Amino acid sequence: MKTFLTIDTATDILYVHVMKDGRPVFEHQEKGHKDHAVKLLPTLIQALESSGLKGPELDGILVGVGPGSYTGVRMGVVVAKMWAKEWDIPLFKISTLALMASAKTTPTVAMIDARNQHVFAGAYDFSRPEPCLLKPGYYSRLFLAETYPEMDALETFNPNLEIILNAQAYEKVKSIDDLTPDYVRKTQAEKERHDS
Amino acid sequence: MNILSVETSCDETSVAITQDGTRVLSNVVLSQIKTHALYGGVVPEIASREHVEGITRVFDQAIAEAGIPKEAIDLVAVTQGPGLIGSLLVGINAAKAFAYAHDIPIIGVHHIVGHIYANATKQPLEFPLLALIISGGHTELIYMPEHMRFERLGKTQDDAIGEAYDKVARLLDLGYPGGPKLDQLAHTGTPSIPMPNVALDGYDFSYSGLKSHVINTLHNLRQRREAIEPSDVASSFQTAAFKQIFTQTQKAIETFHPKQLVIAGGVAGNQYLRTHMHTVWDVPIQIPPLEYCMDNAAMIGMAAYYQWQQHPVGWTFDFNGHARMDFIQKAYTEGEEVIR
Ligand SMILES: [Zn+2]
Repeated sequence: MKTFLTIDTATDILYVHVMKDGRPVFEHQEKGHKDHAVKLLPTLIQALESSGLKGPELDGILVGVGPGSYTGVRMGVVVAKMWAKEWDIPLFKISTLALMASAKTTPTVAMIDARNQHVFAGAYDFSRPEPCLLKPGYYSRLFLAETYPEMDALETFNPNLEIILNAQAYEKVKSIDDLTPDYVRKTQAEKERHDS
Repeated sequence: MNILSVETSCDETSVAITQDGTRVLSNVVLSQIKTHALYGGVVPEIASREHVEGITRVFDQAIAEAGIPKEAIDLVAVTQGPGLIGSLLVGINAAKAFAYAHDIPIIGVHHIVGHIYANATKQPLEFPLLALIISGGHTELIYMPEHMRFERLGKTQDDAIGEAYDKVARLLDLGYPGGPKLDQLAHTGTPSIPMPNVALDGYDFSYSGLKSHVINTLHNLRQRREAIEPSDVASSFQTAAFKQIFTQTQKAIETFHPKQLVIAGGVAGNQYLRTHMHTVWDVPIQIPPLEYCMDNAAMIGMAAYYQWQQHPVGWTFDFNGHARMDFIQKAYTEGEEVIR
């Protein structure tokens, strides 16, 4: 995969990136104010057009699938699913936490705040052949601090797509129709129903 | 003109292909009703999640069933609101992605306008018309002097009629969705329990008082250990619920002399309504076939055709979904900017 579009809307950051022949040619990263719906498609279109690319020319689309249930996560996933099918190109998925952790090449715990002293987190070391040290999940901050005291904690979103590409830290989506975000947690309604 | 339309405002994932505002080539509806029945009502977060799971397959099926190539699609239309925002945004983003991928213009459509134009699947609308929208989310009376011009005469001040049906049905342990079950049960009872006579000025509706009255009545009967005949409760509620509909609509008919009364929304399938309406209202009445009364994308495609005739300009890709959307006269005939 040398020419691909990356989309991540799983947090309040709207992230769009284009790699063309293995070189980054477009990057857009913007803190949204619940307006991913307004900006997502225009930004994606700008990304393709300013890179001189038509959809079917892409080797694939890489989409961040969360974790979390931020409303935005569904938008990126839906657009990625539609385009992969309509343009007949492969779809790849990656944890948003892996994207975050790619900012560093040292062992890092990437975290997305989930309130009540809990986070969605994953641990990565991109200097290793198998970078994922802790699978994305819902953890208490205390557990992470005690388990990985020596690691850097990272809560900012500043991915390095060249590192992601080198490590091939993504997974090909076998059934595009079935792809959903990685919510990690059940909805409140499902939990209550399960408990009662 | 072939239109691909998308509707995901609540708990149905639907895509349709329609032609010229008259023919439905395909109308695929993936219902989540079994999921939400487990919770006794629509859970918004679950609804959004299921839309993401179903959306691409529903697109594929609608296009395959229509039997036309994608190159023959001239317009993409999508419900912009009102509805559950998380659900709306799945459909809107899918529709935008599809439109861009195939270089087809896209427009947003008002969900209630879709309900009204569902009638175009059966025969052309005749103006001026009066539209009565009754569903789980809406109770509205709208006057239309011509295509795509809307004057809202009245709406519910609190609960929608379908919402009140579902709540009373829950009190009677009828399960979800309770509306049609309550309708059935009411046929075996008599309207023997006194209900408040809600008679608002103008054309507005109100259902919270009626609902509270049923709650209190059931509570008092239970306290006095008197037998409750659920069918009588259902019948009394239903008679009172429709009395408002009949009275307010009749007032509007007498004032506006419409050529036809168009009834739409899920409650348009109600049997009590269908048995009594022709004796109550002396005006030609149109009700869409049941499949087009419920939320579906074909109705959005119907409305989109007439909207496009008025203002044949595709929208830019930055339009948002809106959980609440008012009717503004001439909105949609002048493009997206005037809709707020
Ligand atoms: Zn509806």
